[in-house]
Amino acid sequence: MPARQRGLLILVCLLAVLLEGCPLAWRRVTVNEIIRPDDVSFIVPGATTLDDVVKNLGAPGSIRRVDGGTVVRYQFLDIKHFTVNITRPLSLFFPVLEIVPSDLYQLTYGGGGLGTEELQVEFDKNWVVVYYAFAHHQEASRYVP
Amino acid sequence: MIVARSLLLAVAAATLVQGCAFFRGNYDDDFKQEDVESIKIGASTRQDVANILGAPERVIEVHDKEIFHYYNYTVKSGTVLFFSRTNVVGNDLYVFFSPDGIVQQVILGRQKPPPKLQFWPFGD
Repeated sequence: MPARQRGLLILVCLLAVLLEGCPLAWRRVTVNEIIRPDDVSFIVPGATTLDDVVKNLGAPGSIRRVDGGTVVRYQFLDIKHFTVNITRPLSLFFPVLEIVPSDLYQLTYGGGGLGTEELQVEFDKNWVVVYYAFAHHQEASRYVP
Repeated sequence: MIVARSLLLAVAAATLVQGCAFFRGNYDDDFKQEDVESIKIGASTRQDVANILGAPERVIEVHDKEIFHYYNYTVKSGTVLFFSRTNVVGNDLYVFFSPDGIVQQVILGRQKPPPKLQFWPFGD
């Protein structure tokens, strides 16, 4: 192995050791995939049926009865969460803290957001589209320091 | 020399994989195409459907008709050091019944692709 590659490998390992137990964490959870406006350009209110919608978009996540019709919903969820434990490095400087239960002195700060994206399609009693609309709240999903 | 290199690689691999975790799971089984195809529109009853697919997760009533709702979820999650990402994909199946309890429509549509196994929490 060339000396340069070996040095790089050792450097990466050293970094991994230093970052182990790092007080920072970025976590993300997504549920389903976004349906974009281009994906629903085939829908024509008053003409498109439930069959057409399902053929193109798959089965909806929920079906709900409303007065005079039915609303189907396709939902996407995106959760981003960031945490920092600002007291964890203290034990590096004050080793005595290793014997103190961490719950007694650790302070964790975290923040995040949950964003939803949703397509709603309302059908009349004959399962023909009355209207469709997107609910955009995806901007709410972000890492907050 | 070979022993030293192998040792170095082993130590490197052991160091880099600490703090890593990957898992996958599912809630309920995937829908089997043969099960769905065995439901006969205009002939199968609620009992037939329940025998094939089991009890529905939810029963929805729309305009005096019952709809059996079945769903399943697949989860894949990866954690590397302090980055973590969990992807969940759900699939739904609806069976519509006429007021006299006979299957009128089966809605499955195209199945969504399985979730990606990722750990990088940024980007799309």
